[in-house]
Amino acid sequence: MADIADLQSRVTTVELTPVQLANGAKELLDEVATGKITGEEDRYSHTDLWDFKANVEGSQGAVAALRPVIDEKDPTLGPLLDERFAAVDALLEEYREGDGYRLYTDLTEDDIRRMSEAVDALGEPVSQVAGVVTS
Amino acid sequence: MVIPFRGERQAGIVTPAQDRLHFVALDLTTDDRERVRALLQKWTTAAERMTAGAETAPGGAVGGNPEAPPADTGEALGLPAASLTLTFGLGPGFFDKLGIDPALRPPGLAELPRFTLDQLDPALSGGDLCIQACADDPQVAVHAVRNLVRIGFGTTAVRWSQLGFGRTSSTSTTQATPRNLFGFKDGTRNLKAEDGPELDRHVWVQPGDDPAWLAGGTYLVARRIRMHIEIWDRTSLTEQEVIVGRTKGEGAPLGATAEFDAADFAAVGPDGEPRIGEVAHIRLASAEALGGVRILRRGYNFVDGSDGQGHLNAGLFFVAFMRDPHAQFVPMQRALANNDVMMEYIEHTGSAVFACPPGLADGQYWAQPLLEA
Ligand code: HEM
Repeated sequence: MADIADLQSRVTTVELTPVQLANGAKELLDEVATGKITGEEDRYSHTDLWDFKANVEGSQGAVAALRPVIDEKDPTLGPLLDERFAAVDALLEEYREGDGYRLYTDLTEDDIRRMSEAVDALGEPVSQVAGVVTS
Repeated sequence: MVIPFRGERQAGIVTPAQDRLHFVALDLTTDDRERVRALLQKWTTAAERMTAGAETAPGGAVGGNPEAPPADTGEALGLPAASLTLTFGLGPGFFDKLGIDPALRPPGLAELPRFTLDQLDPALSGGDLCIQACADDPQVAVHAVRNLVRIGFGTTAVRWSQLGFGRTSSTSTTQATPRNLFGFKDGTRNLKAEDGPELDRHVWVQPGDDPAWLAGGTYLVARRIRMHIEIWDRTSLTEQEVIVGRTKGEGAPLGATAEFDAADFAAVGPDGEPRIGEVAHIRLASAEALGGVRILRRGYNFVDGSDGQGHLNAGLFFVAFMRDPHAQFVPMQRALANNDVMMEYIEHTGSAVFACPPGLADGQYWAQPLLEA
């Protein structure tokens, strides 16, 4: 699994190859999909939606670094990614409470299902990035 | 064997029932009609390819860019088409969410009434769309559903899905009658592919029925029926046969000898009682008792693991096709729910109704007659 802080710092200095960046973007979302949404990850004790948000931002940053190549190779993918990232952001905003977010333990099953659906919707186009930038 | 994907009628309805089922109900996660149309086009292409035994896209499983995830998930590589059919249906939410002209909404999608003893779980009920995958190989059916679900991410999300491991109905006179988990032959007196005019009367929405775009289509009623098989298995053979109204071995109507002998509902035994009891399942569900109503049953046995209380989570995933659910399924199920002794051994836990459009002409995509009506 990519380390978020490390990935983000390296995104800005662009030390990663396009494929590594693309896979990093995907892995950050995979981590959300398999651990952070289901709440199965006890490793993140007292997790709240900050972690979710941080992973999504990391993923978005990596994709942004690749955006010129994406737009050149597949002009339909970029706008789709924008829309799906925006949908996840909008959903997260609904759970904002003060400076932070609602705790996982306070989310309903329906809340979790909506997040899971939004991450699935985002994960598919993000998983296409590596193929597109190497095409 | 390859079952043609296109034709006047959708496949998977009067197609001789294949042995395995994977049924999925999906919800739309968008109200954008163009996006839904684009998905239906992609689905149709992938579905047509898979029913011919091909990958979702050419070179889909391993022939693409190695840096990209494969377009096809791969578990059906090397497997034949296995008679795969993919039958497509639209639920009430499809019309609501897309704001479709109420004049185009199939009236049969009106909510079913609550039946006595219904124990419906919302998580196993409803859906804006359905895809019924039937095949002779479970891997082929699951592969098809999995790949269509994947293509749908961002536009649809899975609401519920159901595997069926064995057919409980014959839908053609060319098929032997299979058995359900009560051990009885099921489908003996079903509507069958060879029934021509009876199918027009009971299964296919006819020109002149409402709405016009649905003519040549049908309605699908799905009911997930949990069967308390452990309790049934403690019931005497005689009692089991009285409940059904047929013999267990041969499947003959009580009072007759062979499976396909006509059921004589008027026959009275030496004790003065009707041979086929007043509340026998086959009497209550018969056209004779229901003013001529019939349906085409195409259900599957399931065992979804166990229930945590020492029992198998087993049952019958009831799928039936008909011209009007409210005129056909409703009176039939009402009669069964109120009077069928079998109700002591079963529990309806899921329910959904879908309108299945007519078959596709060359170049058409799923639901095109509706979206371009
Ligand atoms: C677990 C639930 C059920 C079981 C085990 C079951 C079993 C059977 C069996 C063994 C037969 C006799 C063979 C045949 O003609 O197919 C039969 C007939 C039939 N069943 Fe069911 N059934 C179930 C649920 C239903 C439901 C929910 C309906 C419809 C609402 C239904 C409608 C019919 C009809 C229409 C017939 C044919 C009746 C005739 O004309 O003889 N069944 N069923």
